[in-house]
Amino acid sequence: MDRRQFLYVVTGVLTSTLYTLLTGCAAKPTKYHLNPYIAKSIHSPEVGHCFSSIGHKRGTSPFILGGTCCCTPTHKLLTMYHEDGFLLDYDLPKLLAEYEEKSIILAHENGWQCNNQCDNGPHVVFGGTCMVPPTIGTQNFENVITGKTPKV
Amino acid sequence: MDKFLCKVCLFLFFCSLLANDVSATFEYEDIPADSNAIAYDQRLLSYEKKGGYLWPGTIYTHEQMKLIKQKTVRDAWTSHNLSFTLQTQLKKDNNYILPLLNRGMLNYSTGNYNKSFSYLLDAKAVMDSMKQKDMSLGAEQSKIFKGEPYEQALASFYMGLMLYAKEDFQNARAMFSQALELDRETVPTQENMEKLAKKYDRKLGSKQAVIDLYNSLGNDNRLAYYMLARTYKKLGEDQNVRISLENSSNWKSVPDFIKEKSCDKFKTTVNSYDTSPPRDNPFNTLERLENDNLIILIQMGFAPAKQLGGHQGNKDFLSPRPYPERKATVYVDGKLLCETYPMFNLLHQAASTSRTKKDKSQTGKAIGKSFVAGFAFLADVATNVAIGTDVDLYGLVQNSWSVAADTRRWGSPPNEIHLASGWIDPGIHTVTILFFDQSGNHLSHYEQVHHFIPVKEGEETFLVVRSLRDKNNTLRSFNASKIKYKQKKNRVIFNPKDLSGLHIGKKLNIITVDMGSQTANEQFLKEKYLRGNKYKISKVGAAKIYKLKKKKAFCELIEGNIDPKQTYFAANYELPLPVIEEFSNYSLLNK
Repeated sequence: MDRRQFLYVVTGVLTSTLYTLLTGCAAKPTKYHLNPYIAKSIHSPEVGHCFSSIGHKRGTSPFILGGTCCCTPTHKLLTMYHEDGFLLDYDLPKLLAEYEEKSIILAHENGWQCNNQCDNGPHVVFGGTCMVPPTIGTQNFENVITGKTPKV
Repeated sequence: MDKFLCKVCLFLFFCSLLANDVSATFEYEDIPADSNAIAYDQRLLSYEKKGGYLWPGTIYTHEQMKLIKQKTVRDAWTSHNLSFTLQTQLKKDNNYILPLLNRGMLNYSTGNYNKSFSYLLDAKAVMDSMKQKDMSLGAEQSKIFKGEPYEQALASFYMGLMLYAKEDFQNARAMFSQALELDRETVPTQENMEKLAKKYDRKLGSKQAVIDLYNSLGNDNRLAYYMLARTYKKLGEDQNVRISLENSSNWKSVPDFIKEKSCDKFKTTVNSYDTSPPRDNPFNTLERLENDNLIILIQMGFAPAKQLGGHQGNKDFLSPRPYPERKATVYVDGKLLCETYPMFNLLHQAASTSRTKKDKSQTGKAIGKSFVAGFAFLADVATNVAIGTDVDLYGLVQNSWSVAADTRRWGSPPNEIHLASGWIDPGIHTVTILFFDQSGNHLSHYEQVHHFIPVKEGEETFLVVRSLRDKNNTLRSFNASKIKYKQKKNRVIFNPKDLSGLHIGKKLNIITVDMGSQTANEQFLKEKYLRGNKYKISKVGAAKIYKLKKKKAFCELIEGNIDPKQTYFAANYELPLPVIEEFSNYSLLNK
């Protein structure tokens, strides 16, 4: 073994010893990722806000007038309001005018569902001006009914 | 009397069992607003607003890219990232439609059909208009992306679903028919078919068998046929309903010699994700089509990936993106409705696509590159011998000329779509879906509970859901840092790099994790994540940070008592319950 080879071997041994010492003394990782799971209960909560696709909840008045009903106004709906003692001095054009005055969108001209993610969104329940019935089976659908505001 | 006492005891026992299950979950109003069950979709939408990526955890970072010298690998990684991009591209950009497709999928799953349809429509316009004839000498991804036929068919199918939900049945019919047409486009041309028949007639017994096989594989989009049948039913075209329903049973296994071409070494894993459906489909009968008023489509898994293969990375092969959920069971108001039936498999559609033309041109490019690289190597040697200078022309050619195949793909769709349907009483219902792996093991984190699903008299309810891990979890995941406790000074020390959002004065929870046994606890400490479902996370105290250094955070224990011999963790997460134990509806629904 010549001198150069000897130096290579010594340097190698020293480097590997130093590396072992350093990594051995280094702090061990302490980060843990916890992902516990609790399923939603299969017992349904109460309907907080009703809208056309789930049907009107009797005994509720329009959301824009302080109630919890977000159903799209129709003659049939207005009759139900009257039967429950609400909006006795309203007819359909007057109720629709209330929505228009507050710039609330009841349906899109092209007929598509926006799930309240359009420019007028979020849903009136969450402070927006969109009252298009949410898309069935989505999180927004359930959040609007229960009034749960998602926190991102 | 004894009998009566026994009955009372049994009743109380079952009540306590039931009460235990119920108490383990939240009252609806107590579900945290930042949990996945409430905010998952909003989180997805925030990715779109930021113009980032769908599932950012799977993306290669700039730092990782910089470390790679070979252009071929960089191209493949770029393609992978592009497959999940939500960042808007200019119309002249080669990747213009990728974010459109991903945004379309994202908005579809969050229920914004208006936006989703318009994104897919824009993407479709490019897919339909582009006929690429020019051959590029470089990487295939320098071409305008217009998707594979199976991706184009999928876009048409989703547009059809949205039109169906909008009750625009004429246009829905056109879209489902287009999806089927695009599937048929994968059938080899007459000329190619004859070549293939000659090549494979021994394997299948006759030339006609080969022709029949290819024709069958190009006409097996069973879900599109099923939806077409539903659409024809709405349009009152009974003859077409029957024909479409008959075709919704079309299925043939993709034979190995085709899979070898499209999947190469991934053939075995592809086989495990492209399994044959059960023989009898209970849902595609005329009677069920007419009577069922709740129809559920369950999307599972992820669209297949494309991997580079061949001598110079010049070929692309399909590989599955693994996912555990393979079966599902649907319950309505806690009662079993049905098991789902697999109606669509994207991997099956993709693996049966005939692709000889593209592969030939890519082989030509690879041979060209090998020749040039060979000349470059000779030039390097010659220069070295002649003038003694090291020139690395070979390395230059290898690293900077990429003939990589195009591995860009529409990354966001599911791989499988299952169908479930049934007749239920009109009213508002709770639909629960339990998911299982291939061996039938229950997957708690995938469970879905949908409240308030309306079914109206004389109408059908069409529900489309996507299975994603923890999408319905009433909790969210969090990080915890193992602490050291100095009893004399009542001091808690941990590594601040483990947690985010720390500052002086911040209050943290001190928690314990009990996995149920000594061995399981040791395994947890080693693996650093929760395995199984027998864990118990408890809050035992709180600490306040008073000093923050780069590698150490110092806190004062302000609540609770700590035993210095036990293991504790600091967490920047307010546990919504004092003790968290896994809860699934599985046992409750199976009682």
